[in-house]
Amino acid sequence: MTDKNILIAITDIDIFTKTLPDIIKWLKSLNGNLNATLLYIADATDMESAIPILEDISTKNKQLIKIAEELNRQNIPTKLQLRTGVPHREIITEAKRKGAFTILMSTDSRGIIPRAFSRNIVKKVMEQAPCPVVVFKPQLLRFTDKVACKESHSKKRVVVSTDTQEYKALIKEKKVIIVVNTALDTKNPLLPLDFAEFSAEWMTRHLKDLNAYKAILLYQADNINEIDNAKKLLGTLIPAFEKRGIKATVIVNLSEEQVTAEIDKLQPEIVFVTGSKLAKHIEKHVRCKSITYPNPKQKELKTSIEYGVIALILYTFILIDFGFIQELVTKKSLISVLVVLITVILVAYAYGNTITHTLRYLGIKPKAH
Amino acid sequence: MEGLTSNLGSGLDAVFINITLIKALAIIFLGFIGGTLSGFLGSGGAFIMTPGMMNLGVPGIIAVGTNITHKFGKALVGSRSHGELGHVDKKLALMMLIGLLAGVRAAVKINSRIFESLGKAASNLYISIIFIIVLTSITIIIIRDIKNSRKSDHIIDNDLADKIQKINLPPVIQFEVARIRVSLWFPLIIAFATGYLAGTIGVGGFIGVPAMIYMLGINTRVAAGTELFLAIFSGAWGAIEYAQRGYVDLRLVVILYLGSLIGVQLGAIATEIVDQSIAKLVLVIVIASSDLGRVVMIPEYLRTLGYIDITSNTGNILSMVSTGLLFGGAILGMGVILKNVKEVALSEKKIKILSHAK
Repeated sequence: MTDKNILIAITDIDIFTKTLPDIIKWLKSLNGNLNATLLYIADATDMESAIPILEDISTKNKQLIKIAEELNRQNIPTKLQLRTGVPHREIITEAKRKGAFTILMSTDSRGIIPRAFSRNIVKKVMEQAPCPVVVFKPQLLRFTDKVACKESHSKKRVVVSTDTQEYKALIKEKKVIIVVNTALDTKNPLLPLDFAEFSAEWMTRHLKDLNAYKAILLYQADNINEIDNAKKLLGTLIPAFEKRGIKATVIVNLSEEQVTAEIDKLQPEIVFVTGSKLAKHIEKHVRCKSITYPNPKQKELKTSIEYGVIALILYTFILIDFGFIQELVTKKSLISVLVVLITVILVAYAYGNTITHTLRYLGIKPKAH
Repeated sequence: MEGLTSNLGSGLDAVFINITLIKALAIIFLGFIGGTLSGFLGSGGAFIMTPGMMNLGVPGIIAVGTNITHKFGKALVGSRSHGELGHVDKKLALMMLIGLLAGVRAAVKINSRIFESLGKAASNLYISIIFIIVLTSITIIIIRDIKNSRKSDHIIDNDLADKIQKINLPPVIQFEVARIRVSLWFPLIIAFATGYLAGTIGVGGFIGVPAMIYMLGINTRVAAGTELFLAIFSGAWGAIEYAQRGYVDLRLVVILYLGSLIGVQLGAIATEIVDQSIAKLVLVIVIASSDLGRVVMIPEYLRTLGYIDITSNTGNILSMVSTGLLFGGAILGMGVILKNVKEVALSEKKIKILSHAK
């Protein structure tokens, strides 16, 4: 087996950390002995003095050491190099010097400035690189695809982004995670089942190659006592997937790690969540597509507020500007009857529904009256 | 309305009270208690809301008109959202509707005539007397019922229904759902009386349901379902009649809703927790205190009309005692409900903790 020198170029540690699991997975899929060089370039293009550069390197050093250690732990021998200078030049120079088999880079879509900045470096590296350049990204990015199409006209340069077929082929099993914790947070006993049905139905309708997917019902328990009950609960959700021909499995973890970290480890394509605080956190931090099942409780709250506003308007109109209505009400005519009846029905309906939906939001079933 | 303004001399302001913040809060509280009782007992909110409004200075006729309109809106929205009205003998209900609407119309006409020709005090006196008769009768019936329910060999005596069903005064009609064959005149009389009470004091069901059970021999479910069906019409008709004469204070109706629609849910939830005997106890407390409150107000009304000679200071004291009795009884009744709900909730919590520990 031949040795392969891999140059992992880092310009932004935060973006790189998010793509690290993808990079490790991709590197492990390669044949041969790998020798990786972790190259960090402190951008000196616009800096006026050396002090900020040194401070930057000193701060990033610890993070880079951790990344290198992680790669070594994954049996990818890695050396760390820190440089200052113009990023794309340093990367090209180092790739030439090492005779790199490939250059790995990462980029992000979040924010106009980071996008423009990282895109510029990636573009320049791809233009001048002596070897293929593989670009990883934390999310499914459209712009990278365009960059890839435009810039990889030379067969020498291969751009693989997480949403391209090449990359997908490297991952044997496509995963979809259903984060059951988000449904339990709402304290509605029927919600997990509805949530599972929704997720399974969504998969059936939207995923082309359903057989290639596996549904993982994820539950992260707070303590050991929860595990058995959680397994039982998740077991009841499996049929929702199996009856649609979707392979499903259950993962109950007892971990101090955040649910988001657990999801990142599993590297799913889609994450299903139900509207809750935890769901918002997941949507914000996971690197894949997330689908939200609308939380019925939140819907109740929204409806309650809508009716509440209508009731408030009616109350304001009746109580503040009573002179006008009083005149109508005290007319001995059909108008006074209509005004009374219509107002009463509207207020009873709007305010009654405000209470009904508030009770439902609080988990109390409204009673007949 | 012409009669009304000319007799009062001070125009519309004399009819509609000035609602201060304290009064508004008291009305919300009245609505809440009335709603809780309605939800808890199935009916009875008017026993507290109408006299309560009268204690706050609302003329009796406005209190009745307001309460009947409030009840109508609540019933309409409630029946719409629940989609059904229980077991209704539609044939019986349609025939009773004639007597019911006639009763409501007669009541509203008499109420209006008294108010317009004799004034507020006479109207309040008339409404209070009707209230006293009805509330005293109901209190006696419930106390007897509580006593009888303690006797294990107590059998419901339905001889009266048998006797009435044997009277062949034409037309005699067979009612399939209610499973009775009776002269039409009796349902019509009961309906008229129910409508008359609903139109006079805003409460009809308390007479209509027992009368259908004990006088016509209809089973409880059909009687309650038919009465609920009729209550919407009597409420609507009462609201139309009073609104047409300008005796509905819309502000009071909507303020009552603020408390009653929450209370009705609380009361309905409490029925699942609190024992039936407690429900009867609460009913007796509230009705008896409301009844006493009305009794205490009689001398004040008579003083205003010039029939007895007491000082206005004594009149004010009587008015305060009446308010105290009404609100005191209501708070006591509410307290009994909440205490029982709390006790049951605590014992359930203990059971949960114990079972978890095991």
